[in-house]
Amino acid sequence: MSQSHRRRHSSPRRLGFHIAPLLAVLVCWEVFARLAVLNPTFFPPPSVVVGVTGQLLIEGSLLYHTWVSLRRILLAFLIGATSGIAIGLWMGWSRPIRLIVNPYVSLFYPIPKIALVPIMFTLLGVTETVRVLAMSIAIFLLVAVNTMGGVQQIDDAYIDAALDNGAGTLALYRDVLIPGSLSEIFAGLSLGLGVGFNLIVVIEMLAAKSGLGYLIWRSWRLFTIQRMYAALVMITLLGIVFIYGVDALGDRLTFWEAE
Amino acid sequence: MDRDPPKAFNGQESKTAGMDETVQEVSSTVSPCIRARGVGKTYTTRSDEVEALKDVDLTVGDQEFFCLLGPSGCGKSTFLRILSGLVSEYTGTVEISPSRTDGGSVTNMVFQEHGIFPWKTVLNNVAFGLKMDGVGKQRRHEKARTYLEKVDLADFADAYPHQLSGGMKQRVAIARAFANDPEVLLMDEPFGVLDAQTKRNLQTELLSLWSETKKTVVYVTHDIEEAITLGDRLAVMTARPGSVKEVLDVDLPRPRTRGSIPTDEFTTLRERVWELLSEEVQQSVNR
Repeated sequence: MSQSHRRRHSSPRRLGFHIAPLLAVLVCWEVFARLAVLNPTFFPPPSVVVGVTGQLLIEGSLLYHTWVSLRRILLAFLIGATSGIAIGLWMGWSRPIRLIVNPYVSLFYPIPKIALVPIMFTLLGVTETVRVLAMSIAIFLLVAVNTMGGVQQIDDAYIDAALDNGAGTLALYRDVLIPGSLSEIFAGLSLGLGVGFNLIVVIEMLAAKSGLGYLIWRSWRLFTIQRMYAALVMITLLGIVFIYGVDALGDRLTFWEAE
Repeated sequence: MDRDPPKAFNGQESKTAGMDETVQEVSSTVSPCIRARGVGKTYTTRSDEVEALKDVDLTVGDQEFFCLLGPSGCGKSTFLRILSGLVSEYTGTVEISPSRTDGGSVTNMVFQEHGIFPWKTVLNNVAFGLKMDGVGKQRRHEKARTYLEKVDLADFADAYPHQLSGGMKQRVAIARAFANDPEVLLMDEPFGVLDAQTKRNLQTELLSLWSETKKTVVYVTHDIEEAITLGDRLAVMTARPGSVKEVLDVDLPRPRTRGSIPTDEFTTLRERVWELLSEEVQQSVNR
């Protein structure tokens, strides 16, 4: 083929943009901590934090809390993403559904979801279900709203072309509505994960006996600062992997939009 | 924005039996393929009503290349969408009489832009209509490749539209339309955004495909020379609300290539059409 493959994936580059300042911060921190400009009790140098993190991972407790948080995130993501995409597509395509469902979505959308957690605990008890459910609601709302917007911005010509070529409802979703709104769907997933990470940390701080949020909070209270940083490193790593991973996947799947 | 699916087809076309299937010299007296009577369409927006079409009477012959000319906003695209079934609510009657019995699609549209899907390869775009008709993968790909060859894009089967130029994209759209093998091709300014040279090349390609397959074509354009170069007949539409102002025969020999069109007759016809059209353009500007 004569045309060059202009690729085009922006995520690795974007990730690079984030790694450079991160390194700068870490280097400054290391230097200031070593020179005792920063109090090393509260700001242990990154090299020490990395060591402690490795040690705690081997010991097992950090790995356990990471796994608990990861499981909550994955479950919430799975529930929130699938329901959000499904409802979002439906709302985007069908006017009656949009008129019925969108007011409820709009009502819950601006509420800080963390404020609803006490109510949910009251209704359902302080359970794992609520922790996961609260997070999935936040993800659901962002994904649904973004997906709906994505469907609505699809050029009418694509839909006309599909219908004119004899597409039925199923084909319309599969061949036009989903690919046509894919980049907005992924934008929603990425945003949803961002909010979800915030939520899970706060929920674990307030109402859990496990997880990285719990570990951060307890370590701070017990003054085991290095342990707190180790947990912070892990939640940061999870955040990077998930949020940028979803971004990168979205870019890859919507390669035609990368011009 | 309203995103409700229009009804797939409105059942207004009737399958008239005993249509004349013999290949004839195409002229206005040929057996009709499309018969529109008193077609009107009014769009209702929140604040007011816009009458896009009013009393459109039009007969297009079987295997005829028919061009529809009109000032912008005269509703010619709307009329095409009524023929295609994409617009299902209108007044008046439209009859399309297919002489085919194999159950294939009756009409197929070629859009000005965005008619092919950027997320599908060229091959899958061309094969899309066949896929919707339930044609098996191997057969539809075979057929799609045949038509890609006809539009000189065989080497681009696995490319994606964003890797193609504007002219190539429209060739993909045309390949799809012919691969679908509909009774009637509806073309909505398919070359409207292309540069003059590309446009000319594609017109030649289209005419050669058309003379091979002898489809009935309804071709919407605002380019007078294009309409004369392509059409057996052309209709000039009035400013909004659009109706048919006059239908003219284009009595020029085929095949029509750059050199073969008699200059005098071409110019005379162009002046005549321009006169008809400019009154309407003036009106739509003055409004």
